Amino acid sequence: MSSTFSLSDVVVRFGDRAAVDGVTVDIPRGEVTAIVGPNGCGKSTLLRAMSRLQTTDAGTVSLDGHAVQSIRPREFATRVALLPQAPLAPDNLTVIDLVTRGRDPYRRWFDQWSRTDEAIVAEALERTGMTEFADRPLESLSGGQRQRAWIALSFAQKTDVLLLDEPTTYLDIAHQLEVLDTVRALHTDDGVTVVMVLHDLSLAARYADHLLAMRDGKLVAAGTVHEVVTPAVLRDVFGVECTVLDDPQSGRPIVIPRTLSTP
Amino acid sequence: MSLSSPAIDQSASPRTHLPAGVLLGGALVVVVAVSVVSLLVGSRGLDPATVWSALWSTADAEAHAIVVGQRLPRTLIGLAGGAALALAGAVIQGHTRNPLADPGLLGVTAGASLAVVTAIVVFGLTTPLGYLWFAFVGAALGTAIVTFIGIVAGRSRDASPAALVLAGAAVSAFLSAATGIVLLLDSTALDLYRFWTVGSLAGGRGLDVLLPVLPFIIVGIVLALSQSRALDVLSLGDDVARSLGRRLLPTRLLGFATVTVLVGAATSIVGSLGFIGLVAPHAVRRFTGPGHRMLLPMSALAGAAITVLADIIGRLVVSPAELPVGIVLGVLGGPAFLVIIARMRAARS
Amino acid sequence: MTSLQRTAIRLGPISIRWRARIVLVSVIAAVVAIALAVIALGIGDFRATPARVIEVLLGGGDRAERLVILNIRLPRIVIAILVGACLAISGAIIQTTARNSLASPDLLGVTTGAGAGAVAVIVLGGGGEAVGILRTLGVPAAALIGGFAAAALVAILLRISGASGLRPILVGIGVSAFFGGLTSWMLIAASIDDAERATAWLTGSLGGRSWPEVTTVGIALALSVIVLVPLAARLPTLELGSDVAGSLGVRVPATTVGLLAAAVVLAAVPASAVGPIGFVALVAPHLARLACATPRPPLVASALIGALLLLASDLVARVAFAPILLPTGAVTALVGAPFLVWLLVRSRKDLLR
Repeated sequence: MSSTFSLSDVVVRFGDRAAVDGVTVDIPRGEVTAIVGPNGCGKSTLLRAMSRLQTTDAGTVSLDGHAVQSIRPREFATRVALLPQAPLAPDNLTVIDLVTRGRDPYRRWFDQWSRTDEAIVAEALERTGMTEFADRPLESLSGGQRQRAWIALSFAQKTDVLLLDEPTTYLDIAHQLEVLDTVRALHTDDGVTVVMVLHDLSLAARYADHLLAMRDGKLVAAGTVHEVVTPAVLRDVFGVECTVLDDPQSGRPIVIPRTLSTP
Repeated sequence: MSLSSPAIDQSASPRTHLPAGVLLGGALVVVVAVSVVSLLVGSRGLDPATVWSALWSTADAEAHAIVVGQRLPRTLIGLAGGAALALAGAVIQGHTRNPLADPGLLGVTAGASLAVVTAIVVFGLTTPLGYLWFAFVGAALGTAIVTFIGIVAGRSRDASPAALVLAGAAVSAFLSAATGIVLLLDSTALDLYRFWTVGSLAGGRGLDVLLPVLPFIIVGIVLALSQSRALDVLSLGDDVARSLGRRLLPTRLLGFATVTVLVGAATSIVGSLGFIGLVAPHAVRRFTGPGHRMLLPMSALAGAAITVLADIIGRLVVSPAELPVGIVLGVLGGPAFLVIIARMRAARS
Repeated sequence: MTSLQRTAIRLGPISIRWRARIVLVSVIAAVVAIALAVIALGIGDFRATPARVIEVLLGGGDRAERLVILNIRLPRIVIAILVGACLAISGAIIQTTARNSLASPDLLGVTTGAGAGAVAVIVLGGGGEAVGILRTLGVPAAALIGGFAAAALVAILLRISGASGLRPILVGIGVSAFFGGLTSWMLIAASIDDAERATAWLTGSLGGRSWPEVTTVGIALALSVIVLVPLAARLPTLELGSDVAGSLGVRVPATTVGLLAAAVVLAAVPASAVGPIGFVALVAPHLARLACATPRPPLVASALIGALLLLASDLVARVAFAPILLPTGAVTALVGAPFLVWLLVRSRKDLLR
């Protein structure tokens, strides 16, 4: 049985600016949700508020009915994993060293390495296709491989929820597909609830079941992919006139931007 | 020399648009005023009238000994040494386009000190002219080492003023440790020459120490001033400078020679003095703007004034003992350095 | 399932990873350090063979030998080991937490601040020799205050000007110069006529130290180790950045502050006992990291290598220009500074973090 978030009137302020301005939404359990919107709309901030890296100025963020602030950090880490934007690791860290850190919330002793830890790390590497790279240093990997290593770390945490902050930015197309396919596979096989912030609308439409569209800190639209990816919503959110087509192969919408909307 | 990107805001116009004459005149007045105060101040209180007459006649032997024998030489030494180091700092900053460059911080003075101490302790040289040449060699070596490190380090990263300073800190630490060790080898020398590790205007030096060195300082000043236009062009970046017809290698060599002469001469009379070369140019830049035609002479005057002022402070705060100039400058220069760093960030972002 | 080439020692519910190389390096360092200590105890005006030294340590030897070896030399050796270990651990923690391979307490001005605090108490406490309680408690306490003051100053300034790349070191240089000037000022104002002692103290010397100082440093080390055991377990995770570490359940601000506080204590207390000794905190962690081939310096290995380094430096200081005693800090500077330059010159992307 998977976990899920519900947000109620969440507000996050930086100075006088409200980065997140009164967002209320329930994240669908066991589904892949993507948060989209223009730069600065607050999508990363919202994700960080869910993962407790960002404190809220008003409203509540709850995980399975309990306010996230009331859950102890270790326990929270066994239920929610976050992959932040462009994570930096020491260059000479090997893949397996990185993935092993994912067992930290379960660590009882200094430098623990139980059979369970070993099994889970091995599984994480296998599921992300990184087993052959286990002893390679991160810096020697391609962008896509590196992201998969980080996803393996999140997997090793064995959580019900996976939050990803722009996992495909800075990657080229092949690596983007590689990463998102891996995420999708984890979701399908384990029933993990996934919430990811994505820059690319078409990728979001293809890999997510639900979309949250934000603009200026507010939630403009929430619903299934077909409900949200419409010319009307896209005009509201991005200020762009688009043609929306259906991809015959995947059944998902494809967005073709035409012109800027006249204000 | 290290090819850092323009880190000094060359586009800044001076805060005040005063004509050159007024600026120079004002600076001269400050220098003279500070010098006068230096003559008047000391552990033996002497009223101005006594000081004045002691300057010209030996009637009051004691006053004469104090004023002409101690205060006057140290004032003049401070003026000369401070001007030389400040000018050297301005030249280094111009050549490296590094706002944090200072002959003390970069280990140049440490190199000169080590050479002087070695000359005295190991070779038994005692005349200023004797160990002056050692000072030049030491200064040249120090500059060369730090420059080399700065270039190599600068190539392996985006140009960073910090790399040069850090290299200088390492080289300084090394050379200071070596100087300390050499001094220990001759325990009688320690007391006479320990100011070479910290910088001081005392130590029983008189005009006989200053006079032989003075011609070299004057040569250094002339060399520095002759580079005003070259430094202005260099501040635009090496590529632009080349396209404007500047031949880089001779220019760099001239700068190298200038710094060597100025620092070598200054160190042989005041010891290892840091922060002057850093602080003086930054202090006057607000009034002169980035143009070197005014920046260089004003830096020299500012350096002279600051050094004598620091000496005055050193004589007052722990009277009747005295704090060497180097220590006063360390206490004041540290925060000044931090202010400059903080401003660098503010300017860049 | 593939074998992951990691060995672990497992006893019931407890399992600890066994890293052969780290254990090997640590053992070798410990053995060499002990050997060096025994040799050093036998060197000086009064010579003794290592076999004789061991006899004395075990309770034998005549009165003269026992006086020289146990009362005069042994404190110096023990303090070298303890101070070396403290400085190395401090450096390892700061390097890992700051994710900056050049960060070290001496370059950040902490040791100079601590020195200023210690000198302040010595000077205000009545001249050249502070005695009794003042010496054992007051001086280290003041050094702690000075060290924390310097660290706080650096932290505040880094907030203002940003903490990336080499900026922390720059700020450290400025803070160091300031506190160093204050220290010199106080030494001169107090008319400590013994210029040699003053200069020697400023460069860091292990001479003239005895059991009170050893006790102080030993207590500081023991307390810090106790505090560090739970905190240091989090270091590998902290290395991944505060976001990821937070997501893995680490209370990042509290843990970081705890680690840095321990690091400051480990740098300040030795500075109060022996004066500021530079470069050990920088060099030992790097050597440990290179020897063990790990991404971050292992704390125990660093401590042992630090002890070894300082022991060796002290031996050189005593022997190189005998009968003249060099300040140990000068030796560490002569070796450490070129190392720092070498670090600087290598192309290291992580310096820009």
